Amino acid sequence: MASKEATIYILDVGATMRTKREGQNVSRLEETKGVLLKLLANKVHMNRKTVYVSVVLVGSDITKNQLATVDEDGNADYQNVDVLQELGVATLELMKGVQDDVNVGEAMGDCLDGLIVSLDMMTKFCKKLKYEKKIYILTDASSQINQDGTDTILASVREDNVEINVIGTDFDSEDGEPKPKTETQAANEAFYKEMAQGARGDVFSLDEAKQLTEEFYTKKVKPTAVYRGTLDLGDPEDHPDASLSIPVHMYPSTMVAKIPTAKKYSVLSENAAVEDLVGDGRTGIVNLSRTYKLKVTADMASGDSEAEEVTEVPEEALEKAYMYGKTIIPIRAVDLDAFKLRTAKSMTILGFFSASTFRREWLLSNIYSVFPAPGDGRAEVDLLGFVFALHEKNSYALVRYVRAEDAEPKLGILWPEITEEHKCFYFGQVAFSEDVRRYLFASLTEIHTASGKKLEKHRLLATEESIAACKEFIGSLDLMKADDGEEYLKPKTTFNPATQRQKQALEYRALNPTKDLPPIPDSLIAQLMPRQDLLAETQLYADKLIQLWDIKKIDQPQKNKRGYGASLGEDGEKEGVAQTSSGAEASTTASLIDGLTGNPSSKRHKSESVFGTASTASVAGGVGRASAFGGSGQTGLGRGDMAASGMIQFEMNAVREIRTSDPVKDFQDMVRIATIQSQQGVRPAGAGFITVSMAVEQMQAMITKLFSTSFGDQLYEKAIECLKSLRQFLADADMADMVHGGTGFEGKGKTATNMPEKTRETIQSRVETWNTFIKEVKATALNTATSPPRADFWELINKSRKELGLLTIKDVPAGCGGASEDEAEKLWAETSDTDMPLHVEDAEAPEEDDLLALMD
Amino acid sequence: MSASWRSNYDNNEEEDGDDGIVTDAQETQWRSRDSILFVIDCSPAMLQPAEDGEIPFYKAIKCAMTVQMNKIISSDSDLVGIMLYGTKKSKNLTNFENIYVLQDLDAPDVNKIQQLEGIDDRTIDFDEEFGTSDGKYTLGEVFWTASNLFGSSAQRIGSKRMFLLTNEDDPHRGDISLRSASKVRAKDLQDFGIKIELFDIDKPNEQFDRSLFYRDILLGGFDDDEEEREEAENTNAKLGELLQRVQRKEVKKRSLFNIPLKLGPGLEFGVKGYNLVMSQKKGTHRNVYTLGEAVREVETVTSWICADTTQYITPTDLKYFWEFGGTKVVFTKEEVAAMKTFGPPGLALIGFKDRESVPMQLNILHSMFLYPDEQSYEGSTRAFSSLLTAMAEMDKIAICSFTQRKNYSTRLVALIPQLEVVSEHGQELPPGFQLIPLPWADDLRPLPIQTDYRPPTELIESAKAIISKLNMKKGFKPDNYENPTLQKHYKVLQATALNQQDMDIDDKTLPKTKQMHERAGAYIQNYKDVAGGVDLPVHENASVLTASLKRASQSQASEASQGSKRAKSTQPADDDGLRQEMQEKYDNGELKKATVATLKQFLVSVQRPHGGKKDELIAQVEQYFAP
Repeated sequence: MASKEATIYILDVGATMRTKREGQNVSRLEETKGVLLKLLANKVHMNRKTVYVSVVLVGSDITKNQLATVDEDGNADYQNVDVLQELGVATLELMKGVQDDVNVGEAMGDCLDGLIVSLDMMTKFCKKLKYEKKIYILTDASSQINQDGTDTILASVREDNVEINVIGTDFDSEDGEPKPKTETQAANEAFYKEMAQGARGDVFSLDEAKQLTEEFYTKKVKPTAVYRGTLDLGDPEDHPDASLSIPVHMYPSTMVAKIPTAKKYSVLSENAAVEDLVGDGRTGIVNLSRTYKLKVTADMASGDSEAEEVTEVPEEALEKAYMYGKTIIPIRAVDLDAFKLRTAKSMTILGFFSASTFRREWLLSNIYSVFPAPGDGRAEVDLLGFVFALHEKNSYALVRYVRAEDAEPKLGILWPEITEEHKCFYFGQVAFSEDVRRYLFASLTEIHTASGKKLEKHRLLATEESIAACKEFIGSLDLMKADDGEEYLKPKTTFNPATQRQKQALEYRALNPTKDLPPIPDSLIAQLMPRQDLLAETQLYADKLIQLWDIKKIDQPQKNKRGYGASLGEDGEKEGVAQTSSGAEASTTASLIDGLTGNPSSKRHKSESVFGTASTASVAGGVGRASAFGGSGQTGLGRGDMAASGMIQFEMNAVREIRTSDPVKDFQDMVRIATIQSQQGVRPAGAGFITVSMAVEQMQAMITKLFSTSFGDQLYEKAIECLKSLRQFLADADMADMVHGGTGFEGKGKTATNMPEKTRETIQSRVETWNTFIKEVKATALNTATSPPRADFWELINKSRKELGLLTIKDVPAGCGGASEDEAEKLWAETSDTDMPLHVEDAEAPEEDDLLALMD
Repeated sequence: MSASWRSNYDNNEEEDGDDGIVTDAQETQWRSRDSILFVIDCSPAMLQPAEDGEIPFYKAIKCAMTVQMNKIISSDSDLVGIMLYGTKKSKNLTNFENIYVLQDLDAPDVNKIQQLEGIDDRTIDFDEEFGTSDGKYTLGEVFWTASNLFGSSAQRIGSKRMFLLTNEDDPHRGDISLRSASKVRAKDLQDFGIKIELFDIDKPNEQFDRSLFYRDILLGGFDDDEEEREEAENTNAKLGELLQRVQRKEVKKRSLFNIPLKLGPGLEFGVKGYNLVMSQKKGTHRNVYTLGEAVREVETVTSWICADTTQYITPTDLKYFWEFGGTKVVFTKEEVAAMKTFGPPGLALIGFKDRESVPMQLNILHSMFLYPDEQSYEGSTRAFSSLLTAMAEMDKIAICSFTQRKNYSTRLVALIPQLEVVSEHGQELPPGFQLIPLPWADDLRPLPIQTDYRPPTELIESAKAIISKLNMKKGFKPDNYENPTLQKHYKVLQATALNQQDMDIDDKTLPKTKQMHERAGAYIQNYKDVAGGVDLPVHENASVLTASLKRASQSQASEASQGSKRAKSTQPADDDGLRQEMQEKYDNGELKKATVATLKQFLVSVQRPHGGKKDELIAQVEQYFAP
């Protein structure tokens, strides 16, 4: 509650509090102090400036209060009453004081003295202002009470609206056995009871109080309307008569109660020598510092990393920008404001619809309640008419809600709530089109074979038997009456364990700064666990499900991945072994390709981002696997270990891409890895082909780059070597055959008849690739539009025409394409062929950066 | 950032002490990109208008455009490319004929959308730019070029999908070698991790028959780590539904978590969780420096400084504290993390309840969706499916405790069974459990106002007439309402980027007041007349809010220990909420958050001086509340 509170705790520390209760190993005082500390802790947790507490000790050896007097005759009033803290904010210091410095006194104190001192303090503090005033008396009720003037005291208590509660160590619990007690205690108990009841309070036994303070409680939040406005229907602008505008208030009905966020604390401050401290000693405060520097974009970085120094810019010079796809669009703050969607504060009904058409997963967040504006009878009539009508029609209203002027419009639905006490609407925000993902999921009841036949039995399909067993299981574990005939785990009886744990830990650490935190009490997490008593009842049915389902945990899901597609149409019995191995293959192939192309799986990607170690590790993983694969022909399992060790990282780095330093070797390595992989891989269709073609493409690009960016003829020789290497590879039919795992023929001179169709095709495409490429090289080199012209490079090629000419039908197995002799000769003609397309725009224009990079 | 929703998390990252906790948003950032390559057939049949006058080719272009625009909003780092085949002109790196790479795989961009707009509105002339080759093309080369496009993309790609849009169900008819070559290439694509999604389109009076050719191409493909089974296949190839079909596949399905569902000791299976509904936010802004030669993006470097020693602090030198009774109580990072973790990731069944026990008003966070995970536990699908069917038939829900992943806090959730619903449009509802997070008692607020008033039947009947008149027959469907804030935001960005003037959007959430008036104006008028004749309810205590609140809170178990069991209701009757608001702000030291207008309004209402600057106003309010 947001009103101000003043609470005074009167703690009896009289001599009799030293004694222990039966069965306890600490004194009555220690037990009572425990309860008081808990009560104080709750006040501290509230952390509010307007919650005031005071602790008054009665029976103390010290007398410290404003009423204490000793008259001339030596008659002393209000002795042994010690005000430990005047009404003030609840602090940890006060708690520590109670814990460490409050001891049993020698004397016996009169709690009524304490009460009068407290009331006096209360009156002076609160004056006539509005306070919630409470007094707690914690006592063993053993000392004599001077009951003089009790009536007057109580009258003033009532007048001042003070609530008095008494916690007695030996009081009887409401539903317990009467406790042994002295005559005085019994008399006092009766007296306190009457007094408390007269002051709107109550009496509690210590055990009751302990239990209550141990109970979880929630932080009370004052209902604050988040929207005070109107609920509109119709066209108020043009037809005010025929439209409604009902004043309503909207309050949160559910709202995530967040644990306050812990703030950062500096260990440096903790450990620093005194002389190193500046300012106000050891505060542990951590300050945030933000600086801004210009981002170095990729193209700049590749140019010259030295030149691009880190440039800091002042915060004032920053502008905001948003991404529109790839484009970054700076928008000045004023413009941003000007372009904002203008809206008026409102809640408007867009229409009504039947409740049955609504899906609850469209609710996006927490729920609010909508009431007629308090005290507005007209609004109540207008609104409740619709509450009841929607209820009777089992319908909801769709509304557009704008919290405040220019706030973002939201869509929500209103649905009626009618109980004995409450009549209102609930409001729940619902999804916009952009908020919904429309994924498709495979059916769980329909499985079709490749030929389209629907399967009735399959290892993935539920059976009548297992559904029936499930129903028995469900029936045996019903919570609707599990809590002594009541529903178990109603949300209002469940408490967030994290909130409670944080409070506990905070209290404990505050009072015991050097100790480790106590373990999590079972009571805290009991609600998160299955209940043992229910489990016992359900065991029979659970066992049956275990047996029926025969679920196996798969330890390495990556390797034993089971393709659903592959399982289609297969017999459930036979699929075991074959299935697993083909799954393994697929995943290995996939990860290999991922490795080579720098597309690690999403999981790896994630960890990289965390550690910022970029792609080398995962790429090494990919080829590590490949090498293990090709090298020793291990079985599918256990390959990952090799990869994990990263031992082949070096080799991997060498073949990830073709680089200028030694392109021929890079190319050969890359091709070799790809070939080994596809040769050893059981997949017949040439899983590695794409990878090989990538190597070829990269090589082509490298060659073009080399000769077209060469400074003079510096890089020509290298380019020629590359060309030779490329042609050699593309001309080699055996290589092509290996890709397809062919085994049927050796040597040259083979014919198309004994050659698999795929191999023939591959050879043909490779031959074409070379022939096309060398023509392209010619066109680029002889193109007079480029500067400088590279005719000299073509001359050089011409000199090696035997090794670099077109691949002719003579060079390749029959039926695998190849150019004619005439065509081959034509390549060496002076000018570029007219029938050959010239794609100047496709040739990579030399970039200055690359040129520089090549020169060093 | 693809495939999931952005959040505004970045803005308050620094303020959040939960470094050990991985939020959805962070996770999202680590996600790799998705890529989609549209491969569109330009054969003459694709250029023939269908019955409804729509031309398949242009419809396909529209689909590609819509996907690009959606990507800009939902995940602007995803890659989209467009390739035409069966064109007269060619444009591709390998110089294949009849293949025209219109847009390389790259993040969506203004220019790319403009280009598509140009094709769509015919300002880019099809015949002139591309032309049709009258059905001449080699499908194998199309696939090859597609794989090259994926392979040559410099970007790191998470998923690769090729959307093939064609109405030719029997390409290369009669040419066995070309057909088999196409199949080999298609297989290569799949081996390379590229999934082919076929969007088949019926020709007029001729249904697309997958069995003629495409079935062989589509079967047997593994789809990286995600779905092992072909999704419910759409048998409908109507042109009119093409866009809808493309949009359903537009976002790569990606699970959020992958955990065991424990039904009891020794009885557990694997489930995957998905976010199917979640609030889509605007992209977060970036800081740029515009005073230099070009607009440059700015990186924010955040560092921490110890106030006492003025040294920079490394993360290992950080502890955490809460203020408790005026003292800083310090914990290690591990201690803080351990406070909210109550078990390993998983769903633990506690028991079953009736569906009605979790009404809509107990919603607290958005829902998630569960589907079996056969890859972590063999037999999960059958077990999941059995449980789903049994619960659906018994109309029961399951109550579980749920820890999404390591170091996440634990919550109680309800699992609501959802059986598959298939209509002629394909899958309407997927089979699985809706996971509904439940509120704790801590999260519940009592209803603040009580009344026993019941309006007269006449009034209720009058309201029912209005409801009937304004009934939306098909109910509410999110698809019909685009978020105007997002639409406006991106429209403004687009207009700024293209230097356009038009920044107006069509706000679909505005009430159609004119139609509403025509349909129900008279009925609303009648309702007002009837209500005008009704006696107003009388409440003895005008301060309903305060009184009922007190009563409601009495039911709290711990009231006695808190001592506020019998709170009095001495709030003045004219208490208008403003006072409470101020008091609350004062108590929590949040007066600074109040607006000047509110502060003034309050000071006027309590007859205090209300002039001056904000600081002075706050001082006045503080003075008012000070004891």
